[in-house]
Amino acid sequence: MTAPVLSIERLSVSLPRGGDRPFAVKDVSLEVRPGEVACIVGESGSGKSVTASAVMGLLPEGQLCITEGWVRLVGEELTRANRARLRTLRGSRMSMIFQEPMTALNPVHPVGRQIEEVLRCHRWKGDARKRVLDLMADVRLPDPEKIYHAYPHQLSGGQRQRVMIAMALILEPALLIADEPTTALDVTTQAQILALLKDLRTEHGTGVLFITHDFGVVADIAERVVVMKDGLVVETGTAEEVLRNPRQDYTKMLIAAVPKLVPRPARPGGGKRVLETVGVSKLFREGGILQPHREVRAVDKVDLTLARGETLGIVGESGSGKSTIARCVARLIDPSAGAILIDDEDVAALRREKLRTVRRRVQMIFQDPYRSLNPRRTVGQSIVEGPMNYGASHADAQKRARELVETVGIAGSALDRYPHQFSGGQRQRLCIARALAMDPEILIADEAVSALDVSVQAQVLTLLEDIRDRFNLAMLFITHDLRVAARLCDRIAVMQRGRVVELGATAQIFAEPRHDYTRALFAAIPGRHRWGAAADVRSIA
Amino acid sequence: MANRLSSARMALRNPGVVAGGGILLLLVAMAVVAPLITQYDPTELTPRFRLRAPGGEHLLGTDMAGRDVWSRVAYGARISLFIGFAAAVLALSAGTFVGLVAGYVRAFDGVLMRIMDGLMAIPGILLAIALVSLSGASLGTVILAIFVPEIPRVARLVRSIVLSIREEPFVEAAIGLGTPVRLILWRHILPNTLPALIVQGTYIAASAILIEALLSFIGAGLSPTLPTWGNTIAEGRDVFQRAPWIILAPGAFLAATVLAINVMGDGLRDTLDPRLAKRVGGVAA
Repeated sequence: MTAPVLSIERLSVSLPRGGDRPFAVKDVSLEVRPGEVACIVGESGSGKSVTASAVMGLLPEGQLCITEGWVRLVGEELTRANRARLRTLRGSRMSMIFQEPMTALNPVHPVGRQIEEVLRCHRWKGDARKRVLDLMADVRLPDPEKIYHAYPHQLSGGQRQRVMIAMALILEPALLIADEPTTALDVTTQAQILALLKDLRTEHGTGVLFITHDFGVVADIAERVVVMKDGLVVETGTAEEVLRNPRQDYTKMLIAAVPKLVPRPARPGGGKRVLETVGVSKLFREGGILQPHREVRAVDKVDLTLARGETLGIVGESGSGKSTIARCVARLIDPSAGAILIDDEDVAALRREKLRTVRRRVQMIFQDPYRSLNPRRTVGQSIVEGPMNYGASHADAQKRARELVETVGIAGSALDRYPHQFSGGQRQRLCIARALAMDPEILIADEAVSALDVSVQAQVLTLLEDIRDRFNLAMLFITHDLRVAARLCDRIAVMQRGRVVELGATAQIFAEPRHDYTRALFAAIPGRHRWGAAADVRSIA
Repeated sequence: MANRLSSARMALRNPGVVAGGGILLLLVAMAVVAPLITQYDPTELTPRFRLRAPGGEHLLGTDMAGRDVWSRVAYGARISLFIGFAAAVLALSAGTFVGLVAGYVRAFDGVLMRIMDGLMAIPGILLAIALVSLSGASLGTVILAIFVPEIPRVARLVRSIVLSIREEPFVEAAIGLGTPVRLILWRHILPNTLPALIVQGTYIAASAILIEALLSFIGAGLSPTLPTWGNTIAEGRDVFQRAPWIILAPGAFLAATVLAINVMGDGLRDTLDPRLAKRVGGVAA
């Protein structure tokens, strides 16, 4: 057995007084061996990022400090190391990549120069430029000569993350810490980056500490798994052990909460059709008097139908136009062409007063629960606002709000409190109550569960399903996540570059995806091999 | 997040807010009870007591016309503080209105902001002098001359905040709930601009007090018969070598007032302005 590149023993980091708990992490022990990927997996607030920062010596000074324990990097004790030593080690013996490569790169310097800077800072001797180009080829960046001179904004998200990886690996560090490196990326890009990391750690013999919230990613990449919750290590073991036979209830719960990639059984349809879009397009124009015009066709001739009691999923990656079509239906933006028929009335071109009567029938739930409630108004004020706009008395609206808040599983006393007193999942429930207060016929959920922890996600999905059936709603469910779509949707429309490339019943699409892009999406789902349905495996040619 | 402190309590923990606010409160108290803490009428001419040094019956001495400098300082605080407060409130109101409309109603944005740009192109102090000399110096025109040049800055600030808040999902949700535009502005957008406005207001108040003193000093301000700090300083200019207290006393109060307001403003900015406030919350994961 080889010596570990990183060993953490009984590490505790204290939180400033007045926090939710005295320790950010307590008694954390783990090891990473050369050429091995160890995953720390946990929900928000589990302390997984704090552990990474503690290793790098990047804990915010004066707020978090290591109170106990050891961190050894190839045998060298880090918790006692001085700043100069840590600075030398960072980049040369250990390095880190982050979730958002756009903010991790400096926007005003070409990326090649930024990679080269690492060499210069560590006084590397040799042909720096050649080394950079070699490594850019290593991380499979196309045309390194050209990308060397490119600025971050000229690259795609996946390319930027590859640049970050090149920067991290250029001095052949023993340890690479990856903090949710694929969370901000599209699913097909994520699959490529994961594959790249797997290849690189074998080629370079680097130990990887990989932080993620996604058990699918864990199943794809990890050799060893550390499950964390509330700053404590819940379970440790090889990936095989933990995924196959989780010992702790929390781990079991997390794994069970990952939506299975099994399409829901078909339900009897035949509800009354409430929504039909006919050739809806949306063009965004950029530029003005002095610049040349540039047109972006965000949505291109989309035809969809939706019946009461039915859920239509719109699945696609970023830039596919899935949110734009939702916002057109909700008339938050005006479609450029086409008709939106709600009960056979075209609402695409309605103005002001007429639009008002339509608004109440279409309600929307947004992605970010922290921004979709006004922080300066009580939950009750937010929920009664809609009905009162349409003439309900305050007393009636308040009574109804109380019922609805209880319907979504929150105590009625919540109405007098402010949004910041609730968790993300609770806020999303309150947003659902706000939408229901309008008695809508069509509910649009735009990535409504994407920002939530997986256990909370499962609960909110159940709630959405429940209210759809109880209120006989027609639901338009926008998501990038095929697992979630499989769980909830009766039919799925796959969108790519503004067009619907495939539309059909969920079971049918999962069994026989016809379009290449749909197949690519399926192939890229993390953890597919472990939790994929038989039908899914068949579909991958 | 559950036990987040309210903004007001956060502000009261800031040393700048406490110190600046404390001094300002003392100055306001001094202005309010001026008749009780002074023995002399600030405008009473008593030539036989002219140019008395501080001490004795005249705490801060007397000026060339034998007027009590302490009385003039105390009564002058009334005028200075009132002008600072009034200019801040008026500039904030007008600027907020312009900024809200320009930021939310696309059609008016270009026109309103170009007018604001035009206003900003003229140096504020010149505009103030021009306004005062056109219409004669009274309390009203001096305040007008001071607050009008401040409007564009407030309008720009508010507009920039509106432009970011109008994209927030809770505003889109309100549009979806059928809330009329005026209520969206009033309920959802205006309250979220308040912290930045309060901070901006303190800077306007401080600069208004300075500009008023400057206008008085160059003779373009309020009537010389009024006991403003600027007038008192202007009148002491010729005898500065013999009687420096005539300038130093109101000058010290002027400096203390402006400093107190600015220190309080910096403290409020650190605690209230969400764009600068550090995120307080649980551990990021």
